[in-house]
Amino acid sequence: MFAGQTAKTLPWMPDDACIARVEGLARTHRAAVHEVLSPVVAAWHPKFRVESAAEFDKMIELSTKMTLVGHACAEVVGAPFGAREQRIAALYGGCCFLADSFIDNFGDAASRDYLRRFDELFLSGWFEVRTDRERLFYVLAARLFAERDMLEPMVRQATLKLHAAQSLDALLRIDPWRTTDLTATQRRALFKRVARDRGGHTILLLTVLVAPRLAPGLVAGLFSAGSLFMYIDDHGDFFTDRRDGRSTYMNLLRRPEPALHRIVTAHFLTILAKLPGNEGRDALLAILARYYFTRIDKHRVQEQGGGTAWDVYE
Amino acid sequence: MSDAPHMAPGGLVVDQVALAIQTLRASTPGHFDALVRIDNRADEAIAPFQFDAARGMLHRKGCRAIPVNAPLLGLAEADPDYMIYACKRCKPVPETSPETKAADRADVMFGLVSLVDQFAGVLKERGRDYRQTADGQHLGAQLQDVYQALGAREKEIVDVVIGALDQVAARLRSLDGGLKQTAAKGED
Ligand SMILES: [Zn+2]
Repeated sequence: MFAGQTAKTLPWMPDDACIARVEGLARTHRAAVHEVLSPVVAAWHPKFRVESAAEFDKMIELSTKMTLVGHACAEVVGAPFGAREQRIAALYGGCCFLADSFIDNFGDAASRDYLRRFDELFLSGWFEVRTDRERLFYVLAARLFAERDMLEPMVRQATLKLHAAQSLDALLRIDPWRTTDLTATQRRALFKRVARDRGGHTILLLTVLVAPRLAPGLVAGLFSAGSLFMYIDDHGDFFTDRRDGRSTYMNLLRRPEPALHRIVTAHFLTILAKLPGNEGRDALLAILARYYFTRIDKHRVQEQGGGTAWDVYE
Repeated sequence: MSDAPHMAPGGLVVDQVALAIQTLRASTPGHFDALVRIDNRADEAIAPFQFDAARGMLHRKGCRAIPVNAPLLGLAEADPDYMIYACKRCKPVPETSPETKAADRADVMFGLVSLVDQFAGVLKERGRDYRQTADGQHLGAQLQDVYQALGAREKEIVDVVIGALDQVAARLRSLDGGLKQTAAKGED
């Protein structure tokens, strides 16, 4: 059992050995993520760690989650996960964190401008570095490029699909008029698809970054796992997203908790059906189960007006 | 070359070179359309197969059985691995491209850019004698191959980039002692 676990049951639950393994991996990967990202921050944006300490910690946590999930995905695919893959996953986590921050934290005009500049980066390779934070992002991306052939067709496609899903997500927030003509049902369907694609493409890109080849039979199971991360994430951020004027599928629902439980159950069944039973699949499900239970708790804490427990694996 | 386990090869040198490359655009306006193009939507648009990532099913492009808004991955070719996931309605058959498509010119640029950091590192860390070593000759041969495969316009771009290497090398020389230590750690 996980600490704080609710009475809910899932189609699959990790045993104690699996939980212990994932917790051990989380500790190892957190230390490794620090070793990968801290020197880059120290070299290129030292103020980030000092003046935005909470954000720096969040970046480490997100990267740790990426590395942990990347490790599980590599095991699902049957690929080794060594120091190089650890670096790739940590760099990818850092890039995702900073890219999200550019799009979410600096106002609508900045969001639009960043979306345009990311388009340009992917189309031409050019990215004019204007701030220390942008320099940190660019250096992390350059290191990622140095580690992995970004022109491999699946890597390119996964990158663009993720970018497209994130752009749509951001534009729906910036431009509320885009959804004003939709019925409530259509809105929910749209936002559900946005979450599905953001999460699904995030994990597909992570997998093709850390593994040399992704067999077609594994795509749907991994995509499902990635989507589920996003639904759980959005449930945890239900209140902060509403406060920030950001619609998500979860915060459009009147009774999100039972809906999320149905989603988790359905996705677990898909993952069990689509991925072969091995250590990687079990780790992935254990991470999801843990994430689900901690985020249910986070939602409740926020509902009661308490603090925001961000740490997921501590 | 060995590295600290969590330090990418080249470390801060790679960072400096990557940042220096971005300054090339401003210093050589009009010379570059694309440095490296990750975006392959044009290729995807003409791909004959589409793989539904959510359902794990392979379709021919435009199959009516593809659910609305399915997350599709375009495939230029479908090897036999995919056939057990083939849609029963459009019945895609295994097909590989008749010949490997000529390398995307922007792809070649990436190969070059990835060599730039090694090349700049070579200049700084080992000097011109490096060319006489087996590694140096291997790198030289790779550079020759890349260069030979280019068309006239690409060669012109390459010449600009290589000309700019002097600028890059100058930047590298101006780095502080911390960089020198890191570079030394990255050697052998
Ligand atoms: Zn079909």
